[in-house]
Amino acid sequence: MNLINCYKNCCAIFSLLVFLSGCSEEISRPLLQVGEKALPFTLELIDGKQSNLEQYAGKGLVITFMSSWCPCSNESMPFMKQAYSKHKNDQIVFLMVGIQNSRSKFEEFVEKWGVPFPAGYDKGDRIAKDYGVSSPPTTFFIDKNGIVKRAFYGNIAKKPDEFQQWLKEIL
Amino acid sequence: MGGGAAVWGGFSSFFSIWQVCILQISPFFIAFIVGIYLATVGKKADPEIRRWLLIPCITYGIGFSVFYSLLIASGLNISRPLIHNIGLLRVVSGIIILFVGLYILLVNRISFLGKIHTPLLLSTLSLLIGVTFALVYSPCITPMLSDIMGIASQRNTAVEGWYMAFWYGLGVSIALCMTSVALILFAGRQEIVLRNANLIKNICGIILLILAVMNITGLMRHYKAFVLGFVL
Repeated sequence: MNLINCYKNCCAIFSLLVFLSGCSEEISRPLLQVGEKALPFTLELIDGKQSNLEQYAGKGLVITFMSSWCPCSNESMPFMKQAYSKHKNDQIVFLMVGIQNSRSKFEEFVEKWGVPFPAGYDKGDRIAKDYGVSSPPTTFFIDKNGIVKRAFYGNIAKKPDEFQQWLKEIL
Repeated sequence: MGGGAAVWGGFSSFFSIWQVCILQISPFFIAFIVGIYLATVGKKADPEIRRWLLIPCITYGIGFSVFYSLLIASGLNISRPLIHNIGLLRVVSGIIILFVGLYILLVNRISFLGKIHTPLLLSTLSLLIGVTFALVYSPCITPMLSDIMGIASQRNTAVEGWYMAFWYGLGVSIALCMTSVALILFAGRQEIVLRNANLIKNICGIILLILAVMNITGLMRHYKAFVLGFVL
């Protein structure tokens, strides 16, 4: 293969990939800071219903970003289910957002764990980008005024005492 | 938590369940280092080979750790443009990885590439691979990384968090480089490997091309969902 042919082939591949890359360009924010106002979102839930931030006004919101392939997401699920059962009658809403995943795999994950609270697949990781979430699992504690009171990265089951404290902060 | 603990945290995560997350980059780095080794092995004697691999491993570790830590330390002002443009940077990373993959595929076929195949060039490519892998890697959060991110994401403690994340990233890099070099030392002089060196080198190049395409097109999420999910 001579150099000119190689150069032509490289240019052709490069052009094709630049064209394809138009499908994946994205703008992300840095991680939402404690004290900042939570950004509005609309999430399509697994059951087909729509969920958005406004509908949780006046309630505390625990929003957790998870992926089926992530060991920490799997390890934290029993704790999250238990926490939901304990607080489902309080003024606290739990919401799971599936990120960095395929829709089918996330739906399998929700089914596997029998997630008892609303869960939806974040197509194109749009909500994750708005919230600055780059790694699962990340959990935000948002108070009834829509202010981020806490952000936690990793397996929340490792912080059971702090979790209860953080719930009190958003009530 | 000190720098030593962070290095150990990163290093040990490589040999634990967290390898599932590191599979986002580990097979591709091994493909890169094996590819450049096999592109060189026919030309240079053993002692030189070590020099040809050692420096690239160091530059990879520097490139990866610096950019990985900057992305973790989202509370730093310097990190914000990186995070804001991460989508575009991943596409650019994909294009760089594409050219590195093509280089490995073509280095023994195009005489010009053969002439520029020097330790300096390989070290530069490794530095670029380190930077691009940091940009494309979105880890799940190990217990130690959980603590580091908690510090690094807040503006008032971001510098401390960046420092810890740097050492954590270096720990991951050291483990990855050690594993790759051990693989080469163990298998690199086997008769079957040397007999099929060109084929294996080409496969390594193709593996990098696959990573490039996944990053450029956004298919990386499916790799995570299906391949990493299958391992888990």
